[in-house]
Amino acid sequence: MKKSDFLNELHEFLEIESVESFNVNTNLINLDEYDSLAIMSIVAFIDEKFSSKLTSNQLAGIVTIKDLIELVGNEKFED
Amino acid sequence: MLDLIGKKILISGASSGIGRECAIFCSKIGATLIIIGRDKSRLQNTLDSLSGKNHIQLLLDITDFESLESVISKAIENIGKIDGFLHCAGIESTVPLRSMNAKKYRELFSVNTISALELSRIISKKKNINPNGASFIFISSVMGILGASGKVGYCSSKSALISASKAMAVELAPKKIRVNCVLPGMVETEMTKKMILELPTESAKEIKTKHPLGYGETIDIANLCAFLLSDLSKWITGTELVIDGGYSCQ
Repeated sequence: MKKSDFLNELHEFLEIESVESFNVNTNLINLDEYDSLAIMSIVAFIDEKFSSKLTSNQLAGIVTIKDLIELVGNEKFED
Repeated sequence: MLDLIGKKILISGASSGIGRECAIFCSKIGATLIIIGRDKSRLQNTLDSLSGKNHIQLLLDITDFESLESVISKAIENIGKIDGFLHCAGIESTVPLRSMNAKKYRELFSVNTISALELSRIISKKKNINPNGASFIFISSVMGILGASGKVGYCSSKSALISASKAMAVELAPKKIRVNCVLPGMVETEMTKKMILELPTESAKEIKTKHPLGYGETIDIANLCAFLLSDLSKWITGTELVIDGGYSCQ
């Protein structure tokens, strides 16, 4: 999966409206939309896209989208 | 005195958690069992833990609806007519509505709900059921009558079991078959431990504090199921019994 597609899909999936620019350096924790439901949604999103089950403890350590991509595994992205 | 001496009981989802504990406990108080599970080594492990003899294990996927009837009927032919059916098979899902889809709903309903109804249909046939009466129990969940974020699929699949059990209780009463649901709160099993790990830390803490008596143990559920399977509960049918350490009373 391309990182750009991942970003677009995640942006749409989480229904992010609180920031104009959504990129790998976006701070997830500061987003208005980043609540417990968003965390559950990310777990489900990553499972569906990469067949990889993240735990909430793992997600607790991430700050930016870049951190999330590294958690999933950079090798799973094409660019 | 609670006992299940001479009773033949079929238990789905017997390879782990509540199903495994119920199987062990029911055998301890005299029942002969048909245990069903998907995991070969874990099902064997349950079989090895049973008291008494002549139990049958069936390694099968209960959502393989085409082959269910022939396999179950054959096992009943071997063991004798059934006095009790305990549906413990189930899968958990914590997925927000926006991440749900038809495939995920189908999977949840197939395992949690439709398999219970199909097994009930097969077991309640005259050739398979004790004409003197029987007891069916579906393990639903306290989530079958409550709601929580990320539980649209799970709650609806467990709630469907409750209404199905009521309709079935009326329909099967002439055959002296009682049908009830057990609605546990959070019971510590491998499945729920995994679920807790996937939840945001705050949500996990909140669930624990909402259980005034703490999380339940599988034996707590097995005790209630044994009672419902026994003749001590002969006037109880079509109802749901909440067993949740106080979770739903607040």
